[in-house]
Amino acid sequence: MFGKSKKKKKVDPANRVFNDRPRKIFRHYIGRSEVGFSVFFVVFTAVMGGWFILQRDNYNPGDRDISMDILLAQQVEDHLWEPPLQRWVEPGSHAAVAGGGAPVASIGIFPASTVGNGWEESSRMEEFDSNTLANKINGQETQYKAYGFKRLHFIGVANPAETLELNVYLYDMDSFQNALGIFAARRTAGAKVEKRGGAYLHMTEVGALGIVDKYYFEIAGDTPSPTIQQHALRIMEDFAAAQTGGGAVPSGFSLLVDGMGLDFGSVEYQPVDVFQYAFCKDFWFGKKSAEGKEQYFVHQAASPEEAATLIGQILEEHQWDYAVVSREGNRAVLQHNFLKTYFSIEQRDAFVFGVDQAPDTVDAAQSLEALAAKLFESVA
Amino acid sequence: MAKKEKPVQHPDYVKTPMDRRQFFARIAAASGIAGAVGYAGWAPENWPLSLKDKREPGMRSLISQKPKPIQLKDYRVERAQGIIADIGIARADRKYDEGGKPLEFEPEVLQNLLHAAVDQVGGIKHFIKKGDIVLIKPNVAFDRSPNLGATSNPTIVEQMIRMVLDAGAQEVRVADNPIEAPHDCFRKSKIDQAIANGGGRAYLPDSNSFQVLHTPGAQLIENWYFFHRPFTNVDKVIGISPVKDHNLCHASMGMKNWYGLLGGTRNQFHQDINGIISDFPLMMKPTLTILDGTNILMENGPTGGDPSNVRKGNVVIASLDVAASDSWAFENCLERRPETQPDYLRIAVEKYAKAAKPGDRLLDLDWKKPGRIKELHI
Amino acid sequence: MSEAVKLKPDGTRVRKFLRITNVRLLSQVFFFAVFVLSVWLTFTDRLEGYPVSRILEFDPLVMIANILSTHYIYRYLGWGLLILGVTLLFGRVFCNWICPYGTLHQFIGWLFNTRNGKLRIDSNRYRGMFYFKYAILIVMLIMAAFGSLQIGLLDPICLMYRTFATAIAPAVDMGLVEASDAAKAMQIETTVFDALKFKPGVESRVFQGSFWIGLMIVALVGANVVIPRFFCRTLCPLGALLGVISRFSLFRINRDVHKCTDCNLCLTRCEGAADPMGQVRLSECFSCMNCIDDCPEDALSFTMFGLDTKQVVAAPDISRRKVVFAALSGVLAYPFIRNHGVNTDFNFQGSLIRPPGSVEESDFLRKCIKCDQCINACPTNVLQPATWQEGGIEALWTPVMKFTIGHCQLKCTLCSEVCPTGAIRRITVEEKLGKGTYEEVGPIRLGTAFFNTGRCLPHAMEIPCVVCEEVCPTSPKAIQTKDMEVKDVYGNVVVLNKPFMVPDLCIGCGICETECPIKDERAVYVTAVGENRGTHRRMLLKHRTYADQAQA
Repeated sequence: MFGKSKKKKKVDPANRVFNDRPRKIFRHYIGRSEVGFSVFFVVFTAVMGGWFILQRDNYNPGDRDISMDILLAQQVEDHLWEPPLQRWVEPGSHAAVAGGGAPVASIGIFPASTVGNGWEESSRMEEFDSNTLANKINGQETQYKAYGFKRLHFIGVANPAETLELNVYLYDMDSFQNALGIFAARRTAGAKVEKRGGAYLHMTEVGALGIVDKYYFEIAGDTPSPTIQQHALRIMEDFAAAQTGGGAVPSGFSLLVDGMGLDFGSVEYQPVDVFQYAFCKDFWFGKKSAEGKEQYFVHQAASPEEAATLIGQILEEHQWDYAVVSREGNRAVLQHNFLKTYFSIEQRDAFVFGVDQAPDTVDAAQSLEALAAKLFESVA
Repeated sequence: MAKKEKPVQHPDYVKTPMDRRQFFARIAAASGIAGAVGYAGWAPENWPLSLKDKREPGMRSLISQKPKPIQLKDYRVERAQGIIADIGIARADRKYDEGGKPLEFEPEVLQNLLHAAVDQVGGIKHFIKKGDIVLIKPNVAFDRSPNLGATSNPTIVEQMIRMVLDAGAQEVRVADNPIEAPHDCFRKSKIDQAIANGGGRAYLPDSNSFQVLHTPGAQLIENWYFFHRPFTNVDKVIGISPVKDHNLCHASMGMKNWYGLLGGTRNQFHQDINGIISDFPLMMKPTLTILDGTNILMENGPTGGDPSNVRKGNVVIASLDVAASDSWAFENCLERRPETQPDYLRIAVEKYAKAAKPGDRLLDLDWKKPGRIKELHI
Repeated sequence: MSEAVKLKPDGTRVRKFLRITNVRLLSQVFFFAVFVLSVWLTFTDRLEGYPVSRILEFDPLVMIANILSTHYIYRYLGWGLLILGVTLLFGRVFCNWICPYGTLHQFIGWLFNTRNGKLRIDSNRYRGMFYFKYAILIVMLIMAAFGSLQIGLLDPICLMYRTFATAIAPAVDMGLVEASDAAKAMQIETTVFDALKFKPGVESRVFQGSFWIGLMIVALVGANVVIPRFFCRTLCPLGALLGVISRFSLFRINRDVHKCTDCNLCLTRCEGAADPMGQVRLSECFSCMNCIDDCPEDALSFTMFGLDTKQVVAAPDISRRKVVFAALSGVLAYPFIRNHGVNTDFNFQGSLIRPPGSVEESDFLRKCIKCDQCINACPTNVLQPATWQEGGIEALWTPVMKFTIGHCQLKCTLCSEVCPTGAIRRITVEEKLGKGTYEEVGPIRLGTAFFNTGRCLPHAMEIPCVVCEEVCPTSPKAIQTKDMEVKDVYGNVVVLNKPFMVPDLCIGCGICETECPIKDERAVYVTAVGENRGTHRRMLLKHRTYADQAQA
């Protein structure tokens, strides 16, 4: 294409694409100065190229970045004021009515005193069941579900005068035992539990935790304040009062806590495998004192016959590990073969009760008497 | 008039009758072409060289997957013998200056933290076999300086590369598709230096690095453009992520780190941020997830930018279960209440469980279960 | 190759190899390679310290025009004097030894030239129309003197840089991407194609106006097939300037009339159409030395000794009439263009957002030579050559930021580093962010972002989205949100984070606009108002601070 061979046939100029003219130099004389300049120029070109490449490091990387020291020296704390999340207010609800005071459209099972006296509804009342529980409390729902969770009722109230907020979580745990269980799991270890009206609760800095029948309460505010504590207390007490009194609280529990005056934390419920027997279920245990292993136990059977059968079974099974000290009618005192502690048990009416791991027979007998007295006190 | 004569031919007219061979050749050629076109147009789709339109009628058929989607494999390995922990945590003590301000960790301390964390879940030699090609995915989304908590710590990235190479890997690749300009992000966050020092190779998102990825079971990204080029022939994948506050999804940690591999118009997914982040465990099943809790971005996330936004932490976490480690980091590094945990963690666990095959190792959010965490204070 | 030249006693093969035209060829190749390398190196971390804008800084027309418009010499622009000095010594060597655009023209003209014999000789004769470049030069210099720098439109170096940055480099990259795909399809593992790319590691770049810029170069270079070196002879203002000066050159082509046989073979490859066969036109001669090679009688030489004073036409061939008309056009062009009114401080396009470090607009138009090196260096592809839209004809092809394509990377100052004339003055990252010694002054603001709440998803459509706040790089963020729960039409209660601007903190980087998912017309967009390179386009009078805590 560039005319290597002279014998190419002549192509029409219109069809030629490239230049096919051979390179011909007609000059003859190439002087010394010309050659000298050429050599100089080649060297000069090489030098220029080298200079260009060598400029690579000729810059200050600090100019193209900012040093951490300057950033640290001129830190800016982000103090921009952020308006709080504006909650959705269901039209027709208490908070939507201007000026407040009008009766609340839907406050569900919460007592009426939840709003009023300076408190107004700030976030709508919501209900969750076991499928939707995770939407409200994230990550902890497995714990509630393990204790037989049924339903969560939630409401948020606010006190604009003192800029306080309060969130009320009311869990329907389906039974007193479950509520007791979740309360035990969630309350601060060693907190003093008191009984107020129909509620067992303990106060926290920002609210209260407690149980009322089968319901478990968690009430938490945003700042420690006596107003918040008062309001939490009021809600729980009024709610407890509104429940159709006491039926849900098992007798075993009320005997041990209310009757015997045991510490709330020392009372325990065993649903199955009591004394490691498969037939033994539904016992309430209460530690007599913080030290020592002595504990009361109470069981309410469905009928006196069942109670009688049960005590018979227990005594029969116990003979493998216990020696009988005394046995008369429906009462027995046994001694453990190895531990040498005493076990006393009595059956009366539909109740089976007694003391486990008492240190001596006197104690065992006396505790048994005390239990029986308290249990049947109210019975004429 | 004379008898009717034949018309006079022009003297230049040369009559050349077609001979038979030519005729048949032409007929054969014409029928051949007609036959070929007919075959291409009407033969059923699965026959070879058929050009029949495969698509169903209607507009939807136009949204076809033109490039054939690829799939990622499962990069996890079985647990080491005798190790039941999913989360390995290493802690170290910080030194303080005269004014009570915490000092930066020395590089050796960070290296030891990383080593210790990986050792708690089995040691790097358990995860990386000789001759593996390993891909490390750090967070290089912004051009922040290293200790501002917005990007992965370059010392940890470098140490990870070295550890992996020492364990016998053939090649270490480091890839990310940053939000801001790629070169600037890699350079200003000092991660390109870390890659060069460690002996790895950086992959930047070129225009032909993306392919459509098919993720079965994903809600939003069942077929989506993915930064695939560095993943060819990769055996193991390790994610290295900082722990950051995030204005929209409340925390950006190990699970959200994989967002950086998406391409296309990925910013649309912010309209369902929980949906997209919970799709990532389905998309990517990495060998290890490393969470760097040494510079924790507490506010103004995910871009940060001011040293006052950063809290100096002292943990490095190596995890086999990204949901559990994210949940732990949320409570313990970002110091948030567990009730406000981001929804995407729970949704991810559920989604994964639904799509998993029997025998698959599932995600489990409950890190409080005994034995799941193994801690070491160095 | 050819039948060996019968060289007289002085000649050998080596000497033939070392003759002046070969050296000129080497020089052309060298400078073209330096030019392409400069364009290739101008990109993020490739840049390091290389002097990539040096060829522009050597351009004497850039120096003179900038002196006329700004009355001082910026940074390295003084190097133009070197070329002027060389021209005073050797004539227009720049045009054929250094200028990459000239090399390109010559190459294409040589490659596709199929003229032979008489046709070829006639194509290199001087034509009357070659005066036009002097008219262009006069118009442009007058406009520059008044304060509107337009030389960049036709200056060959600026044109080359601009064309390569916006049209040729993307085209080459596109080809390399195809090659890389083909290699991958053939299972060949190679990174050579990616390493060669002009802009590796990023998505394919786009430049508005790339079509017209590409068309311009194709047209001008293609014209070489009709008239050799058409641009260089007819349109080039730099050539005109050098031509005016080379009338005083020391060295020139000298024809020995005693040896000359009037064969006209010297015109066969004359690049400048300088009539070496007659009175050599000093203002047109490119010192290409081709005529020396072609003369069979050795009658031509390039020398300063023994000059034949009759055989030269020194001055440019432009009549006084034409000069006056050209001057008049220049004087009229300026007010007509300026009073077009698109670049005043009260009537300006919001889309005319300049790179960080730019001087005030009236100064900018005095300095920008439209070389587009800043556009070349930009890592995010946000800088684009302006169209008529943004600034009218005066600002055509100057750099503007288009945030739908990219954003201004927070800690990047590359555009200010490569700008040869100081239209974007050199800044450090400290100055850009307003830290260190610049804390009082504050950061450089390119503009302000505004919300179009009718298109914003949370504001207008009850759909959660807050990408803009997420990517805002300032600390504290310039986009804050009002969070509210609403019940949408499907009965779901959703949390909407409704964004709003804090203009005191906004630096106009544009990443909010780039990332907004409403891709056709963004719900948040940046306009030029609020820029702080001057005071005329300011929006806020003062920047708010935190309320006095003691009052609370």
